[in-house]
Amino acid sequence: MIDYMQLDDDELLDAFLESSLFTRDRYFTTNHTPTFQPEKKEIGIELIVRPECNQQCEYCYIYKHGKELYPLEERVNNVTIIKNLNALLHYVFYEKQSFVTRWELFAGDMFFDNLIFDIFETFYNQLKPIYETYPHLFNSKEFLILIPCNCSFIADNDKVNLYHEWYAKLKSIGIKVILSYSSDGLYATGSREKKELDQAWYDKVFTFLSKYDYAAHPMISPENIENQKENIMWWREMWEKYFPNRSKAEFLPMFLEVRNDGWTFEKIQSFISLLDFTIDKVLEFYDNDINKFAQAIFKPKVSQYRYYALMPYNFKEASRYSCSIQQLLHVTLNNLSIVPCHRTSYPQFKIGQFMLNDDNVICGIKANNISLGLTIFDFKATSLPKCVTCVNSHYCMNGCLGSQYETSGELFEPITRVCNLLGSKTFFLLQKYDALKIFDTALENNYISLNQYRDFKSQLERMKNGNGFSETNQID
Amino acid sequence: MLQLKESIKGLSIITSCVCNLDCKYCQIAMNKTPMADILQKNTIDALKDGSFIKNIRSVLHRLHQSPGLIEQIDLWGQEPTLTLPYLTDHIDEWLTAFPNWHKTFFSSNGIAFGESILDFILALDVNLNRDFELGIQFSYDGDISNSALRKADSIAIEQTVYKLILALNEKTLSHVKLRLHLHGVTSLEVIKLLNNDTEQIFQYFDNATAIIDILAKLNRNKNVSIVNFVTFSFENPLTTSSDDALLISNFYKKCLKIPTHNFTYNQTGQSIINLAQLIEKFQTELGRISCNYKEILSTIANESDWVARTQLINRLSEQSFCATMVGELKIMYDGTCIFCQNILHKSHETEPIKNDGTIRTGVFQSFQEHNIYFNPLNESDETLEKIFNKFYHGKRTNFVFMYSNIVNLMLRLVQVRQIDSSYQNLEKILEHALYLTIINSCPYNHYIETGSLYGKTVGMIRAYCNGLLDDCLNILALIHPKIENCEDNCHD
Repeated sequence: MIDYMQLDDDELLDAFLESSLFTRDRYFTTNHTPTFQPEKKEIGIELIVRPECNQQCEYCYIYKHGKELYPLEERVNNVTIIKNLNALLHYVFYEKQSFVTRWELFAGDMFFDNLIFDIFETFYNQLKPIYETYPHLFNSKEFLILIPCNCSFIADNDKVNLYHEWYAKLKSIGIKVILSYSSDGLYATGSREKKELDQAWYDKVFTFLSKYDYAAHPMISPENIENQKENIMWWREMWEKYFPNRSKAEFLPMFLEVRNDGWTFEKIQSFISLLDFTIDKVLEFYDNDINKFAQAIFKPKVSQYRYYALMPYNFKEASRYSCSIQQLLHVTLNNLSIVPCHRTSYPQFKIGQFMLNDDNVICGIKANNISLGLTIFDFKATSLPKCVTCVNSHYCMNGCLGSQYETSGELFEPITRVCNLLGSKTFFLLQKYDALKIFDTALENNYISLNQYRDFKSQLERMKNGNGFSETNQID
Repeated sequence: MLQLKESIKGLSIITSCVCNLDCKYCQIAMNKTPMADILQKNTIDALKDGSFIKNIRSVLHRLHQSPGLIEQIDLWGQEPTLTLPYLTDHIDEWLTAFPNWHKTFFSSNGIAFGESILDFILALDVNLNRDFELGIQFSYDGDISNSALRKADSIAIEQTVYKLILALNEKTLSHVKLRLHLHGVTSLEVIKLLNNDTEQIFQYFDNATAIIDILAKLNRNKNVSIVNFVTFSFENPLTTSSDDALLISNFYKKCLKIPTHNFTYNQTGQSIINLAQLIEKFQTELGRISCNYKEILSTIANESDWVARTQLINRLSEQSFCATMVGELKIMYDGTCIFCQNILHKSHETEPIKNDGTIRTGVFQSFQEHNIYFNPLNESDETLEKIFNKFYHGKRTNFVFMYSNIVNLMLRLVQVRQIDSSYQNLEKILEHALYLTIINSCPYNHYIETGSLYGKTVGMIRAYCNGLLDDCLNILALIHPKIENCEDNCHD
């Protein structure tokens, strides 16, 4: 019997992928005329390669929820992973002729058994013919492979050499590999890496990273908040030591708050104290010049570093959620499932799956939870239940849907303690900047518009009055 | 200290965990586990030895709620007549335990003769010192019930109600005001069985209406009333293909074409009228707020008047989310609370649920892990606060998320032509999305189909937006042309 609902759902998923991913970046039409339009909104693909890791960090979501997110019975060997990657890349680049240029490789560690180099090889083999035929494509848009990485592989010289070889080889066809260093820093490792990481190790890591494109995303968690002041100074020290030619303003890496249920009142107080300390240190860097500080916060020049962690407003696009869940298509390489993201890849949330034929070619798409998939891709953060009547909603970076699900069983239910954390952050930054007259300075120098100025001021008043924020988000 | 944001004034007590029927569309039956018989035995024991009452009072005490505030106690779970005698035997204890209890509703399949119902009504009346509203609904699908769909016997149901009314004619009720009601579900299976044949459809609804006429004429007890039509409602269409949606819409169009003397409620064709009533209810509520949907949307968009905006969102949200865990408890014999009776068998499952990759098993696994059922007597203040706050915020603030979700899904569906092309008109989408947000307000259905309390399904939208919603609004315009203008209702 024909399942018409399944057919409708499949068609809907196919149309969604076409409109959101494939059509927008199609690199040539039937007459092979390049049609790539760089001004179009970028969307990329995150490959959820596998969860296995050589470290067991206590607050890592894989450590806590890996068995549910990546059921053991669905895990596959590296041969299948590479076969699936080949099929997907062929489908995207040759079948759909879509020049998707942002790729992220997620979960676990891919270096310990050299899987990453097989992945590099697959990308290379698939893209080399396109580079040779359409080199201008790679000039008009940067082709990026971003890999969150704990960098433990650099202890092995063979792996370092292999990395160097592949980095250069991929670069030769216009592909840039960026390692995003997963480390919280010398003074905050207690909850992260189990093994002892001393200064000598970090010196080795930074010596390596300084030769390549790299990013860092230290996590600020309830577990490591107490040591963060020393940690910030340490990051500054490492920056000055290993990146002497780059602006000192960049010393502050992109800290990310772990948005879980551990943020008690005391931990939030420590976080606010850390913000206070950090602002003073950044001000110190600018010789306590409020004007320079205001410019750095509100209107950094193109080349200037952005202090995301100190912005009193939400830096996400108004219509998009702050994380990658609405910006990337997330595909698991064990079976080519399409999932909302690496934090929400629980089986019931699976959006659909690419289907393979016997020749290992993608021959279709089967929908699963298409209703939820479309909901997640399209919703506005400010419309979420609870957020919609919260006064901080426009200033809030919002919670992690995966963490929310794990806390309450509901993806869209913000965690009250995270609300407290993010609300307190906004409130503190607004108060501090107001006291330092940073808003006035920013207005006088046209770093912000009059409307923005008024919005900051009225937001501060609303939060002082507790209108909306206090109703739903009581500090516990 | 634990403090609920809304006082508990109602209880839905699970008095039966088994049923003597096995209806295809029954969600409880779909989720049945081997625990059912054990739960039934435990429930009966607790009704007999008084521990059911004791446990409810303990839970209320744990939640810092007063039994004296309880106004309504409804009987839920599976077939209530199977255990009703045990409640009847101890009715005086229940009335004493909840001194302000004055309202009850339950639904029966009516298969067993209504002696137990009669005994319950009489025992209640004798022990009461206050007026009491009792509503009893009998599930009745008309002639189609005889098919494999419900395995019910419509003649047996008719006779149960007939005999009950006859018996009550011989009694005097001093306190109980009884309202009897026949209710049917027009499922997709029923629609297919009726074969889209106008004559068959007419006959089906006409026969059902005839039963009501007979029962109404039979009743002579002034404390007994009978709802004057069978309230056929639509099976929740969550997983509908566009082909099935057209079938449903054609069915209702056929209903509309039956000569029905201006669609008064006691005529045939009630199915669509009753469905339309859902929309009517919302239209009326909307009318109280504004006669213009654009005004509603603009109030929500206007953040400069935060208080008015919040009040409107609260008001609309309450209509699009059932009352679960807010102001009421769904509670089992041992004090276990469940957010929906459909999962009652899962609530005591001891074996871990194996996830087979389907949405449903994933959701059930999540239930096991996330306190979707819980016994307040065993939980900390913090956990209880989290659970109750989740549902409280859900009920108070869901509207904008669910509404915009439906708008977004409709935009996606119209692109692939899976809903009517008239929805190319954005204004129509914005207006109809308001109705769709309210029509299906069951968090359980959302949860089971999408994994989220707030997840609307594309299947539901396909079902309504291939002509059905237009039909409903057309028929409402015929019945109540004033609703269109709603001048009298604005800003009351």
